[in-house]
Amino acid sequence: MSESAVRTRRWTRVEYKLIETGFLGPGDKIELLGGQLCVSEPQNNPHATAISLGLEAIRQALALGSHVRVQLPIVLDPESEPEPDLAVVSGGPRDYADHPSQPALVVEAADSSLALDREHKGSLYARACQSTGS
Amino acid sequence: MQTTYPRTRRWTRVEYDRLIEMGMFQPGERLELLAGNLVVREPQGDPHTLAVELVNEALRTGFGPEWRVRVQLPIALNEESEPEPDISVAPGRVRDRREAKPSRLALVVEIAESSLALDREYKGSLYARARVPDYWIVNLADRVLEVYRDPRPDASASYGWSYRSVQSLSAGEHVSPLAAPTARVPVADLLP
Repeated sequence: MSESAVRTRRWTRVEYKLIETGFLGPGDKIELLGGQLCVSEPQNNPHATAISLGLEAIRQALALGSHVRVQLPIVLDPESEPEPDLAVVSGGPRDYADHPSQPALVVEAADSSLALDREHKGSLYARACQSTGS
Repeated sequence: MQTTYPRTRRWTRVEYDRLIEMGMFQPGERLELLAGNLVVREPQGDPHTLAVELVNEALRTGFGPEWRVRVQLPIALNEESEPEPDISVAPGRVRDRREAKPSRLALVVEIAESSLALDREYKGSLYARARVPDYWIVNLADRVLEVYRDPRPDASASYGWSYRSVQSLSAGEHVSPLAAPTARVPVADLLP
């Protein structure tokens, strides 16, 4: 059965907050992507290592006045709140009342998730970049 | 659909009922929980709503007062599925109901306009897996009634089950529900 035959309910970030509070536990690895509650695949060691390596490299290269977030939520649009492996945002960690919305750089470490990261997330990140005009 | 891309979070019936109680959905939203997925129902055209009324009328007469003939109401199919078939028939009078959402169905009917593929493959497999003994699709495009019976395991089906017996009845023929074998319903009465 092709997916196009079935249209599933999409969620907004506001609804996602309620779902997080009422239904999801700390062990649930979920991201809101384009209105869909996507389940993240478990991380293997190469994936985790890539994140650590990327974190160190970006920190060294980074100008003052920004910081790196590791697998933390960012706001893309009213229906998307992904948790990229690495995201560079301006300012310091205390500068945000809500999740940051305009990352300067997003990094995903991909092995089994390559197709998802390329097509699905790639398109979402591109669209978010265009709509914020950055 | 079992290998959705990307893989999305699945819901149980208990969670779905809680979402409804929380007021998460808008009044006009038509949703069904199908194997953990919250599926949006297509809007109904006039031929669809007419067929719903026709099937309802014919089956109420055919089944009589000892049966609940229900229109677009939720049924408890399994832990991850709560569809709202166009018509569902369950044993017992309405006032004597023990389950608000029946789980043992005698007959399920879907009216298919644009949803034929979904109703045949996806819902057909779900209903077969739940051992619904009698499943009808009013196929508006071809003006036939498709009658599915005898659920059996089938590895090639969406949910591992399908119906062994598939009949396509045209307007000149009659159909008798498995649970009401004495009723003879003209297929023409079910078609808009």
